Amino acid sequence: MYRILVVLVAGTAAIGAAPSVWAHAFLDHASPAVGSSVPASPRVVTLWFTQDLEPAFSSVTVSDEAGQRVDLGKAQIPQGNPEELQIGLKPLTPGTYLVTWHVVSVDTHPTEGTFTFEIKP
Amino acid sequence: MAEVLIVSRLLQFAAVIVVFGCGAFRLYGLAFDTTTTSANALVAFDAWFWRVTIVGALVALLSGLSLLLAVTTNMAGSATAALDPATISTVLFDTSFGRVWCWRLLFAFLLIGTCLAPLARRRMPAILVLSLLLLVSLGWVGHAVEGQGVTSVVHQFNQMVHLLAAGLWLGGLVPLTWLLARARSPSGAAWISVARDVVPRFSQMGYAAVALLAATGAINTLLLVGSVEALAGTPYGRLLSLKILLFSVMVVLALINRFRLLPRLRREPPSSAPIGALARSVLFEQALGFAVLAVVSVLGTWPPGIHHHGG
Repeated sequence: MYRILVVLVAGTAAIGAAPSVWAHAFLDHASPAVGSSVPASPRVVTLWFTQDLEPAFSSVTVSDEAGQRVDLGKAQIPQGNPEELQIGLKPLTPGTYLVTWHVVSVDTHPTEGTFTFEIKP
Repeated sequence: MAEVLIVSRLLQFAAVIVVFGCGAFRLYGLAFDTTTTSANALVAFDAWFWRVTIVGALVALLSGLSLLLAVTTNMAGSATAALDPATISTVLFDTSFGRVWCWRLLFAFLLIGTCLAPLARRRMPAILVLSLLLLVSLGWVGHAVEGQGVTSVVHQFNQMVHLLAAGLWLGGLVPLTWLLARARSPSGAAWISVARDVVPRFSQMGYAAVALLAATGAINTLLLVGSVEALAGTPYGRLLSLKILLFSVMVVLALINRFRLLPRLRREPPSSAPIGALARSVLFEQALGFAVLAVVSVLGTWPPGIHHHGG
């Protein structure tokens, strides 16, 4: 009986020791869409996640090919849509832009990621 | 930091479950008996229970604080943030986790206060209520708050019932072990008769608790994993399967206790032989219960299987 117990506890410990920093709020979709081409400069970038976000710890930035920020600063979570994150943009010229997001979901887990979109008139 | 989070969760679960389980055990097992023997038993139980509660409340408070620091580190993305009062206060007051955690830390404080305050007659009900709040409020954070609207409400209610049933069963095994140890001691003749009365009551309660655990566990699995493929094919699902396996072994042990050892305990003239067998079995069950809590502590830090979109 105790031998079985040792095996069970050891097994549990082994699983517990495995890397466990996957995150919980995944990017569901975005506008402009991930990797897409749009004909004109969008006013905002909107990201939709698979879970509600914590506003205090969720942010997004947009930068151009030179690494310069082209967003208007503080990202917003619209009232009533806690799984959505929005950020305003300066008027953009044609080119490729990098969106970098870092969010924390209401179950306390952080996630981050990047994607690009292109402006091609 | 993942390790700090997991260990803090384990200590938090264990402390709260044990205190609540003991308080409930006192209520359904001992409190309503009016014989002299059981009145003496209640006095001895309360002295032991007081020590368990104060240790449990301290562990709940300290692991609650270390969990707060681990979550702050996680949310802010750096270990130095956990030492920054401004960041900690943002977590405590501006996140849904923090708002619940404020209450839970308060409950733990009050539980310590209750143990130390000179209110002997009202102490036991206060301990029971505070430990119940500490237990069910664990369902207000974590995976149960995912989702929106009705699903979230159903999930949180389900999780609260699940925690309550876990407290009754896993937590109840601890005072049961204490009682059986008393009955096994050389001077335990009076305790054997107490055990003969109390063990069947625990067993009755156990049926309800196990049924509730299985039902609410099934609903949780449906909400967080969603499919048999995800149960077998995602890390979360596989670890959850281990939890279900451990739970099943516990249920088998409980059934053996109920249908083989309990009849012996009641039938034979008072002796310590069946008590010894029962005590060993319950101790093993308790170790399995602790393993279940360890699995749960890890599961809470992993993304549920339902989030793996074919990945």
